[in-house]
Amino acid sequence: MRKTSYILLAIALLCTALEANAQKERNKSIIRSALNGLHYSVRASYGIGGVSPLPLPAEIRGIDSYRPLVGIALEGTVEKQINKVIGIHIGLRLENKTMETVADVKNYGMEISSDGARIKGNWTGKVKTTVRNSYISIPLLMTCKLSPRWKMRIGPYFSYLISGDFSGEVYDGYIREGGPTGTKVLFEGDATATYDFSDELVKSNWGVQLGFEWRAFSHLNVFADVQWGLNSAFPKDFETITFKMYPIYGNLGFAYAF
Amino acid sequence: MGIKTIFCLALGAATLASCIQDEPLNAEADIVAVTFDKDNRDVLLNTTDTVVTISTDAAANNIEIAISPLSDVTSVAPTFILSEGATITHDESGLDGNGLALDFTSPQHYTVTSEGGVYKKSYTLAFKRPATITKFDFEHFEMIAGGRYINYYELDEDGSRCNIWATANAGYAMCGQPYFPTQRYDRGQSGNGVRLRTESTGGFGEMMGMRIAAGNLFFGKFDAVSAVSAPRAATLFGMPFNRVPKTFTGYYMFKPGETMTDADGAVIEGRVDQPDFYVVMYENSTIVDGKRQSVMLDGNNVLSHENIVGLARIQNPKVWTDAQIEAGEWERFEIPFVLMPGKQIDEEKLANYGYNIAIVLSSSIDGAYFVGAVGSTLYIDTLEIICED
Repeated sequence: MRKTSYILLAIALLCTALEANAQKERNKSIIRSALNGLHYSVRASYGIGGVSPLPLPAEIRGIDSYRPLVGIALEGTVEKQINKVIGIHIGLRLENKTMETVADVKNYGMEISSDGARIKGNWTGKVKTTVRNSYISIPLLMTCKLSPRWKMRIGPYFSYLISGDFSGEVYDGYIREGGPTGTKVLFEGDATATYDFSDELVKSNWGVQLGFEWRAFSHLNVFADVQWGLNSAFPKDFETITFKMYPIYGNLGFAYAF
Repeated sequence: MGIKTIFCLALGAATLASCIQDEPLNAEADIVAVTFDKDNRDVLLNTTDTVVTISTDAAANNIEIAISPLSDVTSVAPTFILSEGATITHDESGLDGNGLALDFTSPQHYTVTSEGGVYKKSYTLAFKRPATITKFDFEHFEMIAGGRYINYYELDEDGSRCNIWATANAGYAMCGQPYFPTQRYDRGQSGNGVRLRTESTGGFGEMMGMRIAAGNLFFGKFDAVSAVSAPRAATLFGMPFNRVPKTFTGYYMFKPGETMTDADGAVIEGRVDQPDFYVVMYENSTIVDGKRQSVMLDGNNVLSHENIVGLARIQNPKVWTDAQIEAGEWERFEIPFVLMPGKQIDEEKLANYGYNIAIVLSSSIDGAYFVGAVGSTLYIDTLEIICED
């Protein structure tokens, strides 16, 4: 999984480099494009966020720990200025959405499946979840110039899951087999059970993106975006996690504008 | 989207912790323990054990409290420790069951309702004088836990139910595998017998480091709560007994599984699996710092505890072929009960039920340590503990 994302990042970097080499020859056409209101940029950002139900269901009693892991996004962007204020932003983005959380849950309906065996029950205790998803995404945004240096943008994005890892373990608690009145079995000390729902992740995701960009130098902009997923990371018929899980990420990065 | 959601949105994922909702009502509806206060404890066989903890598996819904042989149970008021927030109702009267004085000449029924009122569990509470049963023909059984696995019991001379037998089937149920290790065998030596087979525990068992489950049946109870964290502590062996065993007899057939594996799943070359069945008798209390403490042997010490006074255990079990088993070539065994070196049975202690006895049956001799051969099958029927007069 991680290998794939590294390869994709490498390809993206290579494209950027090639583009840089070809820059001189293309300077003229860039200037011509700019006169037509077309602007090109490459951007890199670091994302922090999580895949989470919203609002948190009552079964989740606390978040013990949260680590963002490494979430990098690389994007090539074309912007078309329609008038002095409004413009359109279209990009092609390769990104990782990652996190690692430990939550305290109470009576949380879950299923542990392993080698065809499926144990269904209600878990009270710790749940550790690791998410490492890689997407190829297309943001389709409207931009709005707020001042000569400030720009706001908003619009939908569409993502396709290239590789997904949604897995974890349960420990330090107990399961009630079959339901809340079923046999109670403690998991103490080294006793942990792992789960892996990677294969259940939906491939197509979409959501809205809202961001601000500040022009620091003539070619260098810094920006911040929020990506708010609007379809669940798991399909409707996935019974184990009964609530919808939305990816919500904030990105902070810089853009090189040609 | 509620205000809370918008609030979450504003704060972002890193502060999701601030969006924890109010704690949901407890969904559990267990009798955690039956307790006896000083006005009610005199009926107990062991008056120092006034808190009787109750397991959560399906078999544990039939609670038996051991009472002394001559006690008057026409008005006893047990109290209950319940799941947090749960309530208990006495079914026959509809009254609050906690501390309610009832006639326990016959079993009484209770319903526990969870805090939210959504979940309910039914319990039967029976007061049992020590069983005097010494013959076991495996004709009394029921399918429990939604019909998934078998539960054996016995009837004493007045026809009332005694929950002597336990299996670890409730633990195996966790593995999500279809074939339980302990099952009825409809072609017993006489009527029904028992078929114990060592089974794979599948992916879940492997994850837990318990790759096999030996077929098992024993006197005592299975405490499922320890089944994963301390599996050998989950099998609790023994019931009070006041006679001196002489011989352990019965009928059996056995066929070992093909491949012996160790706890890590590695093949053990050159070793053939064996069954194990025995009667063990032990003192059911010790004195610690001048105080009497109950002793219940478990899978860790059932053959090694210092309180053991005697044992009748199968030696050199035979091996059958499929054809012989198919033909029902049962073999009778007679195993003498032998006192442990330096041990004696004290007459007075015996009369006061100071000893526990357990029959323990397993399809793999080292099954408790997850060593055995999947497919090892022990058929057993018509057991008797012949006692001295």
